[in-house]
Amino acid sequence: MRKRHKPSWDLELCCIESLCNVTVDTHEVLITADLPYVNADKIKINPIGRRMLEIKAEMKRGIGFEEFGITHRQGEFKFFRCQVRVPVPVDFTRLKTEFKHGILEVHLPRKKLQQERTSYLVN
Amino acid sequence: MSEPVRVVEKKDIPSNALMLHGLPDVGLVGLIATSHIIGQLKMEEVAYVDSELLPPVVVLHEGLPYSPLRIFGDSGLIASLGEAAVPVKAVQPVMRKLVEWGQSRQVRLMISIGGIPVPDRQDIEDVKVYGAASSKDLLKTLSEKGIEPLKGGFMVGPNALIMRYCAERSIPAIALLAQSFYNYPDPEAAAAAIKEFSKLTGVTIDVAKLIEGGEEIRLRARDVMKRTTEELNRMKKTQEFDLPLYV
Repeated sequence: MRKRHKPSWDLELCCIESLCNVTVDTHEVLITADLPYVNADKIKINPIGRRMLEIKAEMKRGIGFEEFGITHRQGEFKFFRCQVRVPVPVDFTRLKTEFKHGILEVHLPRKKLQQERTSYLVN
Repeated sequence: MSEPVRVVEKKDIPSNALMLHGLPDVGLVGLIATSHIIGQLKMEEVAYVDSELLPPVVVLHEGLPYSPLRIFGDSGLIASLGEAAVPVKAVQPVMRKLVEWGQSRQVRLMISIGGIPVPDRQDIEDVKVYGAASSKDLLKTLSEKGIEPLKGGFMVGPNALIMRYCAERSIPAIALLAQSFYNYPDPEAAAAAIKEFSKLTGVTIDVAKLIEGGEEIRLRARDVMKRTTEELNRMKKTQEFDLPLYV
C-alpha cells in the first residue's frame, strides 16, 4: 500500500503535530514533546492499546494560517497532537510526567520480564 | 561547464566585513540567531545562493519568491541565512562556495553560530556557549572573552565545514556553539549565542524580543526543524556525541 504524504497539520481535527522524541533505556521509555503555547493542565496523555501513546494539548489560543503568512489556506489550529509508538513493553499504569519550559516528559517504566534476568560476575 | 554552486550578487558587497553564518542545524540555533540579528540590524539582501544541488524550493515573502539560502549585508556585516534545510549532498559544495566567496570579498573574520546538542537540555537553566576557532590566536581570543573553547570531540555539519575550509585557507573563523536541543527549535540557545557574539564583536544586539517571542518561534519553526532533523540524521550528526580516539 502506498503511503500518502500528509502535512504536519490537520484542519479537521484543528491540530498540529508536535515534535516528539522517544528514548529507550534499561529501565524506562522516555517520550518528550515540544509544546509551546500550552499550559500543563491542558495536556492529555492517552495510551492506545499496548504500544502507542497519544499526546494531545490544547493551545492557549487558536493559531490561524494567516499568522504564518499563508493566505491561500484557511483554518485555525487549537491543539497539538502526536501519536507515538512505544517500541518496548511498558507499564502505562506507572506513567509519570513532567512539564518544564514547554517540554513535556513522559516517563514509562519498562515491564519486567516474566523471569528476572540473572547477572553473572566475571571471575 | 557551469559551477555547481553560484553566489549571485544583487548589491555591492562591503569588503573587510565580518561574515556570519546561520544555517539550519541542531535546535535551529544558527538560523534563529542570525535571522534575529538580520532583523535587528535591518540588513538587506545583497546576494543569494543558486545551485542545482539544492532542491527546487523558493520561499515566498510578501508574495515574492526568494532563494532559501540568502546573504544579507550592511556596512560592516555580511550574514548567510538558510531558511530551509540544506540536503546532505549539497552541504560540502555549498559551504565551500560560501567560504570561497567570503574570502574573495575579503571578509576579516567568519563567525558561524550553532548548537551543541545535549540530551538533558530541558534541565539546563543557563545555557553555556562554547567556541571553536581556526587558529591558536583565535582560541586565545575566545578564552580572553570568557568563551570556553572546545578542546576535543567531533563537529559535524555546515559549521564543521566552515571551520575546516577556513582553516585550510587561513581565514580567521570562530564557531559559537550553544548547548541546545537536538531537534526542537531553541530560541533561548540562540539568545545565549547572540550575547557571546555581541561580546566578541562589539555589535550590540538586543535579545529581549527573541526571548519574549520564543514560543511563537518554536511553533513557526516546527516544520523547518523536522526537515533539518532528517538531513542531520543523514549526515550522522549524532557522531558529535561520540568519544574520539586519539592516536
